[in-house]
Amino acid sequence: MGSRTKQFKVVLLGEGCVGKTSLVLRYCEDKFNDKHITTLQASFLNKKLNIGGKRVNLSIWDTAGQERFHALGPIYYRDSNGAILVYDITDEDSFQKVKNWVKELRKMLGQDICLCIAGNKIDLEKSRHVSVQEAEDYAASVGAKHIHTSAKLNKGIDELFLTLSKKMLQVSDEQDDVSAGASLGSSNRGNSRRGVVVVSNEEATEQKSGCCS
Amino acid sequence: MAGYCSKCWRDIYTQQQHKLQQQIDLDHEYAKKLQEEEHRNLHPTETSPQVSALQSSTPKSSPAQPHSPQTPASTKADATLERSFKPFENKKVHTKGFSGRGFRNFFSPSSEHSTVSPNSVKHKSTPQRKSNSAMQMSPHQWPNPERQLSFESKRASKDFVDFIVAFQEPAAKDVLKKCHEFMTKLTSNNESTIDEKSEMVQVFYQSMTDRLLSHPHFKSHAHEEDHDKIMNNVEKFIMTKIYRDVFCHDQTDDEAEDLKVQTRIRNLHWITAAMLDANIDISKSCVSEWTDKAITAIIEMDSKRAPQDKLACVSRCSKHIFEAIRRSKDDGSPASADEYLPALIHIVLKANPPLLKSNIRYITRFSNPIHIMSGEDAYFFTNLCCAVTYIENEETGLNAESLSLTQVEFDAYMRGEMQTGEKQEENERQLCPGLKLMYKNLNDLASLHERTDKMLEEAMQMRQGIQQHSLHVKTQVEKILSQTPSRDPFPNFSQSLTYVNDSTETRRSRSTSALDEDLCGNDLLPPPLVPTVAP
Repeated sequence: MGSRTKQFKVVLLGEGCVGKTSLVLRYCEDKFNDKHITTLQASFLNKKLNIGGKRVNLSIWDTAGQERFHALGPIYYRDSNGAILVYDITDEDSFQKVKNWVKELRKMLGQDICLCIAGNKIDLEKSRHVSVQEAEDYAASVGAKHIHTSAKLNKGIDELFLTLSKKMLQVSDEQDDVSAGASLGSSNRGNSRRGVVVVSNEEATEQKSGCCS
Repeated sequence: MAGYCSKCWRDIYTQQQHKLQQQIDLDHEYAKKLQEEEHRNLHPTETSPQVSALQSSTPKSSPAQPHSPQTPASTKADATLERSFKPFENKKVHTKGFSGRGFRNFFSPSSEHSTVSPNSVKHKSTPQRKSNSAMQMSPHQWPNPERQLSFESKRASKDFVDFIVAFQEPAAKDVLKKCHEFMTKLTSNNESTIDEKSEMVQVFYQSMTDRLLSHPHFKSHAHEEDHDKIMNNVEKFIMTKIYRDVFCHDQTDDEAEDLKVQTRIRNLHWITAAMLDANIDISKSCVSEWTDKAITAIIEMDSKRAPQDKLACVSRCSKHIFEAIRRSKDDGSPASADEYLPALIHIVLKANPPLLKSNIRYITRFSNPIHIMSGEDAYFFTNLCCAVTYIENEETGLNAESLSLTQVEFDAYMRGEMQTGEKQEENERQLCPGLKLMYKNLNDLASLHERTDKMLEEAMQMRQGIQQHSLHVKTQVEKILSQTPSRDPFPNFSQSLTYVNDSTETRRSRSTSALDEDLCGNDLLPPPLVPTVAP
């Protein structure tokens, strides 16, 4: 039972153009702006890890960052074990967006979800608009790890995903301890119930919105 | 599709079903009598010939011709296997009888009271109640056992049995038994709501997974892959079997929701890929080829029964979309979610799949959570949910603001008063080659017509010009002539000549007279030379 691979779902959240896709491509393909990237798409990628002998399979879900899709967030992040919140250090607004996401995630999923905040594009340090101190203080205040990354220079990316994976493992082990003896399957089951609740909420609001024509 | 709306179709269908059912009931009564007689004579304890016919899937199950149970040419080994599958096959018959009832009930709840004979009413309305006791009855007493199973159902049973016999006997038997028990439980519980059924299915998946992990029968199949395979097949089998009972169920508002989404999408037909910021350039034929494939894939979802098959359609659709995006881009970089979601929305709007909402709800309710929580299929399915939510929702989803249009423009598009340029182009693209050629020829003809008109007009102008010119010449000549009448050596001649238009003679005469005029008008010239005789 213990040998079963842990499945973790990680969502990438953040405004468009902060480099979510570049981050994940760098991580999974070790490439940046490269013509020879083999994957057709960078919106869903799998990464297998081995952390201290434990097999972990990360499913990395990219999300559409455009503001008009913001309301769809709950559908994306339900049942996720972790979230990476990406902002651009040269863009104050994108950091603000991260704060909004954190608030929303904590409200909807509580402490079940592990958060990592990534300050991306540190290769553009010269035009930094979000101060290191502010970002790190904020991350600490919401119980999230803060990591500076650059997809271009391949800095901090492995660290980012590794930190998050360790955290998720820890949480998952704690959950397993709580439901002692219960298999991973049953924790999945719990998650799925939670998912169903979200769906029914949606349906309720949809019904309120009335006729479409 | 053609002809009836769903409500009218239901009415008509109900009537037809009704007649058919009466006939079937009569036949069935007769067949049952015959069977019972023969059964009593031959094999008081054996199972019904019909069921064995069903098992061996030979086309012998005609209701009016019961046959002896020895007919299926099965070996002894088969026979033991058969016996172990028997309860399961009974279940198959039972499920069918039940689903038939549910179906009929779905169409016309009141029909049972009006025209059906009391005997058949009993058959139709009670199979669920009887189900427990019916387990002990001989199978030929099942309601409508001769009723044909749907193609998918038969195939699912066959596939599942084929799959499961590959495992060792106690394991295979155990899985079959569990599935069988579960389906009995589910179908016998007619009053339960769809959510309860969903819960039952989910609990079953869970208990099955736990059983695979803990039960000694499965020790030899301890691999994760084996478990996944078994669970996959169990899910496929069960869901294919109970599909009719749970998909777009009459207790739910699924159908109404489907229609609502369909209407909404129809109203939004004018939205172009560019408006959604979808990076899909349909003008390239290689791109439109992939979008067409994506549309086909998403519509194909309706024809699948098992949740994972439906999910596979969604994934296929998404992969075609990625291909389309890649071909629309110049640099060929992998598509991000920022590009994928708008493109998916665009494809959903183009495809307008008829049972979209039902399918999504069905998958959410009855899929094994593993499929919709992790993995690629889950990601694509989630995006489809997002796309549908976005399309449906007028407040936070698709509206004037999110398309960067003014409310006035948006309303005009919604009323069909405005049409986007791209839309027209696209309409043209959708024509067949013959029509395209016709339109091209019509265009050519129109321009030819225009040019001919223009030429005719010019010809007329030219003619007028010529007439004016000759008139002008005439007046000029007349004027000149009137100025110099006395010098004219041939007054009558030149007078008559002026009436002849544009002839060489006129020109000559005119030149003559002009010559004369010149001659006599110029006094400054030296006197003409006079011939003299040389000395």
